[in-house]
Amino acid sequence: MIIVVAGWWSSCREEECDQTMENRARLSFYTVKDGSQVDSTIPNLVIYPETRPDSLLYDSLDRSNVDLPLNPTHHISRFIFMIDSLADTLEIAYAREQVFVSHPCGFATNFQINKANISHQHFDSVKILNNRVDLNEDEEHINLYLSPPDTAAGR
Amino acid sequence: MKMKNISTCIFLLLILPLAGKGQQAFNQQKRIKGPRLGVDVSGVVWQYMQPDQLSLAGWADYEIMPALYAIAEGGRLKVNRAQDRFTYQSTGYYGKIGADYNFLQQKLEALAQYDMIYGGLRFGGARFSHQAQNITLQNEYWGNYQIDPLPEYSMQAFWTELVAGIRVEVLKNLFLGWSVRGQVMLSKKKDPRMDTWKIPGFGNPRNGTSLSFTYSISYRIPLIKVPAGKSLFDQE
Repeated sequence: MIIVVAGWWSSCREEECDQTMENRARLSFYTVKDGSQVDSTIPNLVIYPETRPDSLLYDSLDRSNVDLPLNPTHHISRFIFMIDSLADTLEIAYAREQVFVSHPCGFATNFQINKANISHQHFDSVKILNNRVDLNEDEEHINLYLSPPDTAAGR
Repeated sequence: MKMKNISTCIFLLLILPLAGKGQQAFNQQKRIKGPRLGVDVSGVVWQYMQPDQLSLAGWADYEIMPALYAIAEGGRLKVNRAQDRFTYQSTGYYGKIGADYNFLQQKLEALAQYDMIYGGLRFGGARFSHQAQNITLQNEYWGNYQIDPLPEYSMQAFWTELVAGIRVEVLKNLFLGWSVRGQVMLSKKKDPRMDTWKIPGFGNPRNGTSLSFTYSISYRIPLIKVPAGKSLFDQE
């Protein structure tokens, strides 16, 4: 009887949301060398959304990959990549989908990336690996390819 | 402190039916028969612990054969959960039919003895609807934002239950009892937009199984008296 009451008791306690509700697009940097791609690190990288230059996502960091928050109330997000005081713009276009996660966690917005474009100060091209940005962590979504001369720390 | 008081209260509610027995007269020659009407008061305890839901439930049973009681149950559940992330509202009804077998009454010569330690089966069904409002999504970088509310969506569910419990006649024709129920979902319409928080009469539908608990007070309408050991249908 006590077990039953204990079980009943625990079942009526309020639950807490115990998972991340962050879903960012993960980008990795590569350089194409002799027909094969090699991991690359960009030194002193500054990134901010075009609409929020005062709110830096990355402030002078050496990065081989970055996680970017897509704007959940727009269909397009543009991010400025400042490298050696030269700016590149990455434009990501996407569809949004509201999904129910759980009663304690509520709802989340998932993104389906349709298109990505990059300007060519430092970058050569962009490739979408996985167009679904959802609450699954550790997924890579986009590869950004540096133009070979600008690669600072290619292996 | 408050938690302790509540659990003491629940424990007393469980024990109460077992106490206060003894002055039962076993020398009656007739067995009182009549429909027994009960209300589930565990909803009141629920209301105390989870004020965002209101549950009303009642049942009626009748001894159709010695030791075998046909039972019908019904109730209503209303939920209004206002949380940071969304406000969830649901409302619905349920019904259950089944039978209980009283293990204390196996012998036909059990006279005016109505206490029960019973096991039973139920088939249950519910119709309910839910909706969500004030849906706020949290976003660390871009700031919190709202999305459109989800309008009302109606569903139904069917399940079976195994019941075990006791029911004790504490005063003439007045019974107290509790039961524990293991429930297994048979079929359920699912809202593709959002999970159901609680199904009326079933509980949390997450795993398709549920454990629930009832505590009821009931009154037997003393309609007729039959020779002991015979059912109503055996009369004449």
